[in-house]
Amino acid sequence: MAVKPIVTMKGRKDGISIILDANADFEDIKASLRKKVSQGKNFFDDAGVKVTFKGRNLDEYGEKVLADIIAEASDAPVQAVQTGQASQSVQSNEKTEIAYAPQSFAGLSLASAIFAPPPVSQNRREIPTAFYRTGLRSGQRIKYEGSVVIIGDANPGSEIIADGNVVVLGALKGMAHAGASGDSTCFVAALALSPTQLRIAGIISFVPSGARKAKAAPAYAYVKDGQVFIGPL
Amino acid sequence: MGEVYVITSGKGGVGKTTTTANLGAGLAMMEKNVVLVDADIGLRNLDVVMGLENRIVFDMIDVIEGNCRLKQALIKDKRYPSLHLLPAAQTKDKDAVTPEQMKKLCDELREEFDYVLIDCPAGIEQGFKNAIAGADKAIVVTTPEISAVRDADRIIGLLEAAELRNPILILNRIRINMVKRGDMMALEDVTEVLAIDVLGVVPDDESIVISTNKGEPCVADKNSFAGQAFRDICRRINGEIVPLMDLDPDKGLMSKIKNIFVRK
Repeated sequence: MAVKPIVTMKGRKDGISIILDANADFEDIKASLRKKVSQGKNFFDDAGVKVTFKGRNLDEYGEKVLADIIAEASDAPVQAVQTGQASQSVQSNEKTEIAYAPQSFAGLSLASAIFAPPPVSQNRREIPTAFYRTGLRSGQRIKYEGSVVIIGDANPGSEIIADGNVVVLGALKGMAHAGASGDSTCFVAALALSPTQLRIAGIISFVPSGARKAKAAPAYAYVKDGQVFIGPL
Repeated sequence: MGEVYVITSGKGGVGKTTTTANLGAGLAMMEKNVVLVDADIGLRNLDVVMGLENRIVFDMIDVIEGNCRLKQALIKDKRYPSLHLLPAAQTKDKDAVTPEQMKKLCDELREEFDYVLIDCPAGIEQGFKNAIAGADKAIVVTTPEISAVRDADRIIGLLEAAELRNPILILNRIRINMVKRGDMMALEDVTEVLAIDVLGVVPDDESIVISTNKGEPCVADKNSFAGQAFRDICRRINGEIVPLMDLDPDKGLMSKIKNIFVRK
């Protein structure tokens, strides 16, 4: 009879389940988990994947150790460990959820909503805002000394240049420049954020075409530590 | 009073001239009075595609400059008695005409004909501005390629800026097998970007090349798949409601059975 693996990873709709053998030695589990994670690195590519441990009661320290192993072996830093109390999950052994965001793409990082600072608080001052009721087509360009709100899509080949924020109530597929006069607290938000190029103040970032096709969720982009981050709305 | 349509695309080689020729012939087959205007001055093609090259005596510039009367420059197509062509000049360039002159010419033509179809040159420069000057409606032709769709998007923006609202789309040269494999943009992908109404979808068809080289529009070919698509488009222009044709060629019994098993 085949030996049952002591660590099993399963992809689920809302994240990844890691099923641990209840009786195996903890050191063996650690070694086995490290091996599994480094083999299946691409499991952990997405931003904000939730990891749930099953099959074994873990204390806080145990969760932390295993989370660190996942972070290390998948090259994705674990930004926080959400520890559930054992008493809250008497029915099932699901208790630990770790949300983490891999640092990826040159100059562009994906951050999960939990850790992203709210950009609005830094941006409370009043900025004149221009509203456009039609979408932008290729070759069309909007330049405004304030914030710009587009109601419609901004198609590839279009340009939005604003001294303030850029909000697109539709798909942003063209180029957007927020804070064009140098204000790096400005942001770009869209119902489907997949721009060909994104500029905030003096920072230019390119969205890799693969990611552009896959990701078209409501999101906003902001600058933190001289880097453009994208967070879901 | 006839309607003036401009057939445009931005990008070259997507099938503006072929579309113009086939729509003209198709509408003439429905016994409409049609005139085709070749606005591609200096690079005229429409006369060649129509097989009327050798009958040109006067051209559009002659009419505009007053060297002849409009009636003298119009070439009557022998196959379709109600189809006429106003050829472009080959020895001049786009600057030989102004938008105002084009507008006047279109107004003159719409008195006589039910449909005036203007074949627009590629590009967004003077030739394009001339071609759209006198038009009431615009037909945008594109192929399912990202570059052609990008140019079509640009053209739609320019048309709207020139007060030619609500252009309609012909998606040309689609290959349904490639679409099914995911290697080609589907109609939905194109309309998602362009967000305009669809006038028709024309499949990629060898009969187009054959008929273009012969100088006979394939719209008259009852066996041509593309010809059928153009006939449908003509009926839609004429106000009929015709559903988009099913482009899937393997709709036989065997493939239906196969589809049951291959379903993912």
